[in-house]
Parts: sequence; structure tokens; C-alpha cells
Amino acid sequence: MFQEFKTKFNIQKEEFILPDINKFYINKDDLKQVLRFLKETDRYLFETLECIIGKDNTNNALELIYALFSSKYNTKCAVSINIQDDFSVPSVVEIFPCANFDEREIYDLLGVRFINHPKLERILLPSDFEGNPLRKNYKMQDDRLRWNYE
Amino acid sequence: MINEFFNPVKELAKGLSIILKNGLKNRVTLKYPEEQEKVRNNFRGKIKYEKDKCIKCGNCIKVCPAAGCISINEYFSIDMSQCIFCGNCVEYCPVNALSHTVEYTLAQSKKDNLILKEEIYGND
Amino acid sequence: MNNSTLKNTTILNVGPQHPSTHGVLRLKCELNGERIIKIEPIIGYLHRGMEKMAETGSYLQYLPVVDRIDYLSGFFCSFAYLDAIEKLMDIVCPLKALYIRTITMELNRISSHLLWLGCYLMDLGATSPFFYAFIEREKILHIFEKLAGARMMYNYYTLGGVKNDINKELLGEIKVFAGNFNKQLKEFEDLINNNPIFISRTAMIGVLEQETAVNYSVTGANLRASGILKDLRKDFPYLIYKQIEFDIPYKKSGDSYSRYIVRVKEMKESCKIVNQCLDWLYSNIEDLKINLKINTAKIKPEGEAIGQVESPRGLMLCYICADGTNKPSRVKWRTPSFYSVQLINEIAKNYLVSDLMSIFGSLDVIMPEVDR
Repeated sequence: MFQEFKTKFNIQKEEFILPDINKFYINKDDLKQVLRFLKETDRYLFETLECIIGKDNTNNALELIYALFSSKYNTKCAVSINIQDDFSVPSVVEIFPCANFDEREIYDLLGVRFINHPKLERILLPSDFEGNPLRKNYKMQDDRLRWNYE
Repeated sequence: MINEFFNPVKELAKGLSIILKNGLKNRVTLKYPEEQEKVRNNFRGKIKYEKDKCIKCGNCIKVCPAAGCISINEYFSIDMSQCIFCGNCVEYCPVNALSHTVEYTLAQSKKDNLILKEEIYGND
Repeated sequence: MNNSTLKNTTILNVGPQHPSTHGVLRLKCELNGERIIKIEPIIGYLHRGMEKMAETGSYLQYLPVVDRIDYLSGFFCSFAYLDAIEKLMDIVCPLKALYIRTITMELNRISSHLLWLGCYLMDLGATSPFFYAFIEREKILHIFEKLAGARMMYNYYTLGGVKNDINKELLGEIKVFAGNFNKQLKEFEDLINNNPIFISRTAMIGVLEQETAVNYSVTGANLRASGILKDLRKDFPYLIYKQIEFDIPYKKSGDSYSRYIVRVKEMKESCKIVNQCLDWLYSNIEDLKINLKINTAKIKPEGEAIGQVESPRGLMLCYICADGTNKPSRVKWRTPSFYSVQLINEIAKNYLVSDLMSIFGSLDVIMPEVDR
């Protein structure tokens, strides 16, 4: 089903999220074009953005996964971009308005800036908090950790 | 025209009759604290520790979700202010030294009274 | 001198402590006289760090904590987390465990909708239905206490099945409850459905169009009351929903009255599902296997997986990324109330201030789900 999409945007790498969801890796600059193509062409019609997942792989590299759903063909798929060294990404609020709170949460907890977002502020933590808790190099301030070594 | 006036009044009267019928039934609440709720046998309440059966393996510390709750140094102690009553320690103890009782009224006036201590290296 | 006095509007603060917002939520409303112009929700008062907590302990230490993400529907959150792990490790549960899981989840859906019904009508001013709903809910909580050991934070599902078995006496109690429940629902409908005060406060108020609902990623009963028929139990069936007959209620108008009617009809359908599962369990009660006896403390999965479930408020999704050690690397929760809170700015424009609580109460938003 995804053959035309893969040849048009020249996608090299593809993985699977269980159960049977395809995950495609694209460049950061193509993001808005890819999402607009998937939303509007008749062959795909992925009109719902279910959620945006932010992940911290090690070595100072982050990854953002956009999970999409199409109700006409009853399938799901995912699009993923890799961020390194320069933590700023174009915002997709014009295409999918539900990404408003999602992008504010990722700015709050992971430290990624979104360009052209209507109001980019901290949403879950207090506004004078310093640091980004979901990164792996964030130092926890409580010494009583659980028993957690093998 | 008269129907438009009487229809809402009829619906309101039907609702009031249901409420009056329910108002004549028995009381469903309990007069706490004279009458207390009787809980079943497998209710997860306060934890009881038996010193004779314990083999000091440390399994209960490895499966507890709360931080700093169970500890074994000179005493075996459970901190009731951190416990979430999940039942993992009771389930994973290999010799059944821990078990649940049915007490659930555990409020104290000082924070030190909430830590339950038992000696494990006492005199035999 | 702030902006509003130059434009002739007032700012009203519906503060974080309020008896009608079902939790701690702050709404900053901008009014012109009594008409609403703009609302801005401010969240974050109940943030507990659930996603970071998963990375500091093992898979077994996170399992009792998962019930507390949405405390009114603890079985659904537990199931979404365990479903993702079972897909990573390729585990299939025995058949009796699947039927017990379905019965407990449908009873949980009824008890969550009953609490919504009592509190919504109390926000509008009627105090009697609150008590009638809680009498019914108390019977369900008694059943759960005999089965799992606790009234609200169950810790009853495990990897590969359930923990305790079910006996004939308990099945008899569930059958008695399900037999009486339809009669009690009919009493609710006689009391509320045609009441002229209720109709004038909720009909044609807070209309949600189909295109707005799809753009803002709304799921669950809010979407079905606007005319789009989408339910996870029919599109991607899980557990044993393929072999059970049930319908999905929907309505076309999209106002607060339709959202109320759709949820009451969902309770009736849940009762039908419980009756069908009880028939199977009565004939197969001697089946002994309820779980696969897996030691959850020593698992080390690898890969990425998603577990999804249709909870009483919408679609709930759990994403786990595992890297081969005994701790997860990333756990992400997609909760349905987080996306319903963004809707309040779109559907409450140009109504009076006194309609605000009747619109917000019909969306069924719970704050611990929003902030995690």
C-alpha cells in the first residue's frame, strides 16, 4: 500500500512497531510536506493525528514519532524524525490543530523548540522550573531511590 | 394550546412521584462511627510480620513499588506512611512470613508511630 | 491597566479550586457582558511524573502504579500496559482469563458512567440522582472487593492472565446485579429524559461539528454523539469481542443532550455483554487454567510495541520502548481527556456564562488523566 509514498519521498529506512504498524524515517526539512501529502491524497487520507511521542536515545540524539490513523482504510502508520545538535523543529499546528498541547508538553519535558507555534510555554511544570526531566542526563534530587539494580 | 401547558407539568409530576416512592424506602447509609463497614476476608489491610519464619532473603524489598518503604538492617521495618497496600510483598515471599489483616483505620498523631518495627536479631 | 479595559471586556477566573471542574483546572474566561469570547485552560496542578517513574524501576515495580493514572477505570489502564508487554514477548492468555478480563472491564465501564451521571446532574442543580447513582455503584464495588481484595486500586491483572479465580457464588451475585440493573436505568430515564428544565438547559447547547471533532482528534462517546461511528471494539477487536453480539449507539446532533443519551445507551449495551459472558462462564467453570505462571520479576523484552483499549472516555494508548534490560527505556501514555480539554475553546463561543458548566460537564474530563 505504501509503495507510491516511499518512491516519492525516497525513504531508505523502515521498521515495525508491533502489532503491524509501519514506521518510516524522514528528514527534518520534509516534515510538513510529508504530513500534508498523507492527509490530502485520496489513496491514503490519514486525517487524524493520534499523538506525538518524544524519545531520548543516548549520545545527545532525540527522536520524535508522529502516529497517524486513517478511518476510511482502517490502518495506522507512523512517521519519525531524528534530531541532533540543533533542537528546533517546524510546528504542524496549521495542518493538525490538536498538536497544540502536545508540542508544548515536548518543549516542557524534553527541551525541543518549535518554530511558528502560537504560544510556546511550559504547560505541566511550574514556569520557573529549570531543566528538562525526561532527558537521561537529568539528575534526580531525591536520594531515596527504589531497589533497581540487577 | 392547553396541551402545551399540561405536558411539562405532567412530566414534572411523574418525576416527583418517583422521588416520593424512593423516599419511603429503607436507609442505605451507615451511622459512622457506631456502625462500621464489615469487610471481606481477603481485604488488603495492614501487614503482619512473623519473625520465626523469615529467612532474610530480601525478596520483599526487590518487588516493592514505593521508595524507602521496607528495609532490613537491625530491625525489620515497614513505613506505613509510604506503603500503598498493593500486596506484592505478600505474594512474592517464599516462606509466607508476611500476610494481610483486615484493619484499615490506621491514623496516628505522630509521624514516628507510623513506622512498624520488629527485631530480627533478638534473643531466642 | 491590562488589555481588557481598553477593549471593554472583563476577565473572569474560574479558579483551580471549584466544585464543578472535577479536579484542579483553571479556566481564564474573557467576557463581553455575559457572552463568552475566549477561554484558555491552564493545566499542570496534578502532575505526578508517571512517565519518568517507569524508567527508575523494573516492569514489576511499575505495575501497581499504573492503576492510578485514571483511578475511575483502573482495569483499562492495567490492560493497556500488559497488552503491550504481551505483544513484545509473544504470549497468549488462556480462554477463561480472557472472559474474566472482559467481565471486569465492562462492569468498570458501568461504574465510571454512573459516577459521571450523578456528578453532571449535581452540577446542574439536581441533588437526588447523585444518591441513586451511588447506590448502584456501591453494589459493583462490593463485587470487586470480593474478587480482587480492594475497592478501587485493584492490582488484579498479571502477565498472562489474572491472579485469583472466580467461584459460583460470585457469579450468582453478578447475575442478580445485571438482572436488576435494567429496571433501575428505566427509573433514571423516567426521571430525567423528558424533564422540561433539563431539556431547556442542554438541548442545542455546545454543538460539536464533525470536521472540528476529526481535526482535534476526539474519540469515544463525544465523537459518536456527533454522527461518526467509530469504536475500537469493532475496528480492531481485542480480547473476545469478535464472538459477542452488541451494538454501538450514536446520534447525529452533537449537543450536550445527545452526549447524555449516548452514554446511557452504552450502559445498557455493557449489561448485554456481561450477560453473554456469564453464560459461557457458567458452563465452563471447571476449567482450571487462569494464568501462565510467568515470573514477572525476571523478564527482559526487546523492541517497541503499542497497547490500545477503548476506555470510558475515549481511546487510551500505551507505547513501550524496551532495550533488553530489566527496566523500560520509555513509556508514553496517550490519554483521551488531554485532547478533550482543548475543545472547550472551540465549542463554548457565544454562549452565556451560565451555560459553561453544562457544556464542560458533558465532555467527561478527569484531571489525573490530563496531567499524569
